[in-house]
Amino acid sequence: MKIIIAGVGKTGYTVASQLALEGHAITVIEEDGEALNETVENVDVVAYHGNCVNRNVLDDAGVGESDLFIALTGDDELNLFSCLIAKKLGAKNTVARVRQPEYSGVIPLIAEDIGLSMAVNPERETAAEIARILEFPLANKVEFFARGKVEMIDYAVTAKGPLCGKTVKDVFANTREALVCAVNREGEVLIPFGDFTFAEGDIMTIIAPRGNLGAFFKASGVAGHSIKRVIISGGGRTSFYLAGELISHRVRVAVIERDAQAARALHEVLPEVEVTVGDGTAQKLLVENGIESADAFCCLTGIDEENILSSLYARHVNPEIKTVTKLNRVEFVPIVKPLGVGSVVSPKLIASDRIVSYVRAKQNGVGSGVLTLYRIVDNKAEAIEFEASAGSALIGVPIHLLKLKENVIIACINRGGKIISPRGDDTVEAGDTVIVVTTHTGFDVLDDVLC
Amino acid sequence: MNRRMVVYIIGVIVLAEAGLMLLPVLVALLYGEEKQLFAYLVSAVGLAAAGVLLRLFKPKKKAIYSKDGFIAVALGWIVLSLGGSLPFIIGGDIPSFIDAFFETVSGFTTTGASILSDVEALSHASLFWRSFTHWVGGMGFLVFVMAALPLAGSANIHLMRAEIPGPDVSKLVPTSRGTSMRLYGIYLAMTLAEIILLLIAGNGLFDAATISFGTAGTGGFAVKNTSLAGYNSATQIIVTVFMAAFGINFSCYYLLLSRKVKDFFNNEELRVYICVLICAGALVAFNIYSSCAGLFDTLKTSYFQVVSVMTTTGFTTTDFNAWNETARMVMIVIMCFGACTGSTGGGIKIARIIILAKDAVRRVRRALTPGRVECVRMNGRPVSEPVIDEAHSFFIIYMIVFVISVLLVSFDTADTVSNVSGVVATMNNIGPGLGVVGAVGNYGSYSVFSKVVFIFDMLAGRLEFIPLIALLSRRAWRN
Repeated sequence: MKIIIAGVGKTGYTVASQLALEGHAITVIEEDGEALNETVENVDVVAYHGNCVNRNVLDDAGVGESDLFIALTGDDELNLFSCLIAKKLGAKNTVARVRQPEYSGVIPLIAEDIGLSMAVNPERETAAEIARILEFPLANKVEFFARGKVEMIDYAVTAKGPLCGKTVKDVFANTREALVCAVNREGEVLIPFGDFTFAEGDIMTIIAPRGNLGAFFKASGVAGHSIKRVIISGGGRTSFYLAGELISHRVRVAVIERDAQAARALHEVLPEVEVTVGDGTAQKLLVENGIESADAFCCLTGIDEENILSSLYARHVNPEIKTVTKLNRVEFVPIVKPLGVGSVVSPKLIASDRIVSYVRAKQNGVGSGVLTLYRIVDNKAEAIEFEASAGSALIGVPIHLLKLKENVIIACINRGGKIISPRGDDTVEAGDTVIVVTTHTGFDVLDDVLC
Repeated sequence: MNRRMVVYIIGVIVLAEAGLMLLPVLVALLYGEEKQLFAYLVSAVGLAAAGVLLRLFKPKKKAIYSKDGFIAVALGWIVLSLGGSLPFIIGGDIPSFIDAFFETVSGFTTTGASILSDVEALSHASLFWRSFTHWVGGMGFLVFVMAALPLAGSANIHLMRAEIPGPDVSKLVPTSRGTSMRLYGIYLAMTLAEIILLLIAGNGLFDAATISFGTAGTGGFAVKNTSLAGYNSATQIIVTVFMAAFGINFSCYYLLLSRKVKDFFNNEELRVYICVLICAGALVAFNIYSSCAGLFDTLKTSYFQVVSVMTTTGFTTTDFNAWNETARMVMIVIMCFGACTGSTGGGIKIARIIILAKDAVRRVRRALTPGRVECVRMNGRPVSEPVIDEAHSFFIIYMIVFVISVLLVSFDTADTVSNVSGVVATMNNIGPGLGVVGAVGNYGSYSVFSKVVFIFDMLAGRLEFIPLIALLSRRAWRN
């Protein structure tokens, strides 16, 4: 696809490099010469120096012939405005980053008029991601498929946990609730079958119809208690979205915010939230707010170092607590993760992930049997949603009789809205959509899974 | 430094060269040259084996950075030339290693400087291979490899920047692979057009093809001892036009293809290039009129020679060493100018000359009116200061390499004119200079040491110095 990216700050850079690697023709527009050089020197793109609403620049960059225009400058209004102009010039789709909470209510009103295909709000996406993580305290990451009807989580096998040493058969043969579709063992991705034995340190990727996971974990003896009390350090935009979301799920939320005015503003909009003015790294304050007995602690201040330290402290005083740490500096995520700060979220990565998966969905919509494609387990495996047409060789054959390629698993079947977690005796029928997980790449139609 | 990736890239290069060597095998088969058939076949198989072996070093990480790109390109070109010289040695056409290496480097760098005194004694297979190396080297061998097979995403851009001449890499389309495919498309189409026209002008296929390869790469190896003097006027005029055409920035042709005719004609570099060609040709014609037979012959000769030298091709129809001093000096000056950025030609490049000249004027003005703000413009747009700095440092490195090379070559027995013009002609990838290395002479009489200096100059000039000099720096080799 021909894609134009206006603004190559950190998010723009991440999006540009990921999409360029996937073979798209990327043109970037940026006003800051230094950021532009950085991009041109490291990413396979064409770059134009200038303002993204300048007619000459837009024409030179070929906005008129582009398939997608993505506005990622630091300025919401500029993003929306440039998307409107790009659309008028002939760009087929436009995506804008819009961060202002006030705008989130009005974007749907104007999206059609200005021809906006998608608005990405990094803070809101981050809050949603954290809410999902807190919904399954055992999971590190949660993703949704099939319009939210299927969910996929990562679960780390611990030495003391009930799954360690068991085989796939032991855990999943007697349940229809969920299925393990990939295992990340020391960085290597394996697709596990019947006799595969789980070991300490494995990260299982489990796929299940939405709402089943709780029952599954209960049945398999993994103690999962739901989150009832959350402390949030920092009262910025992400916290605002997150607190609202959690309250609607009847979770008790306490927020610690340094700035008195911001704290008051938060309390005005969300009266149910206990807001305290103070330093989120102050140990006394945290203890006063009940860090020793809280179920989860989210560090969402704007300062990475404070977030890391607070998380470490929380885990120190309360080893059972679930912590979520926000990092702005994307490049440090891999270094910080092993420190034991719980789940790490980065708004910039989440925003770029959203955009990249939007592009993949657009790309795959054309001329192949792929409905959606997700990269999972650090991009080392793919989860692909196919439509099963009547002519497919898989139709009507029990799965255990199919000659599947190695490292391919049929992870989920969607039959007219009913989600089936498939076992050996199940069959794929015409009209189903099927989610396949594989370490192969380049599958175009469902029959590609066969030998 | 990602050594394994560099080794891997060199493996790909060697493998691709083995594939290309099958063409002279066909030629040997066609002309029944059994000894050469054996030589080229053995070389091809040997290179293929070496390539497969090198590619066994599967890189753990595919990411490379600028430094690795420069090293890969510099080493790649040296390995490429070593591999290309194998059949000359095995087949006995050029038995001495240093001579065979010189000849191949001269081929791939599109210089066209030769150590042979009797070209016609070579086999057809070797003549073909010699000219074909021009064609391959002209557009950049790694660019060719990139167009043919995808390497890792970010690797491409560093290789391309290191290999393609010019102050600024301008891409035609966003992906570097797409760009190289389009560049090679234009290159191939123009070469085929020339071959067809030369056939129509009454030449045989072998001559038409080898001349076209030499023109396209702006190389200059001919298959006759008298270069192009023995061919008819139509052939010489066709070659003149095509030499000039291959000296133009290829992205200009892309402008034409995408129907931006106005942008094409407004291109400042192109205008200056054509202007310099016309003026230099006229100046030379004025000076050699007395020694030629009539106006047509004068213009034909002067423009053929001026275009040939300025585009850094190096074909000759006359011995310009015998011209008067003014005409000879004009030749030396335009040798250094070279062709346009993004063409197959060498030299300093017209775009740099324009930038340097405008910057010089700006500096004088600034000295007279301090504090005055003024930016250098090209095609009406401001040129950023880093690009101007690049032109400056290029020129400085160019002069340093020039001076050191002349000094090193002076240990030899030849006279100053020959030495200086020899260095100019190899550094700018032209081929023939003045004196003993003039149109009727060759580089065979120089010592092995001088030949090594010339080889370095040819490679350094073709790759615009930085990659080859980076190879000599200890820092580049450190991890």
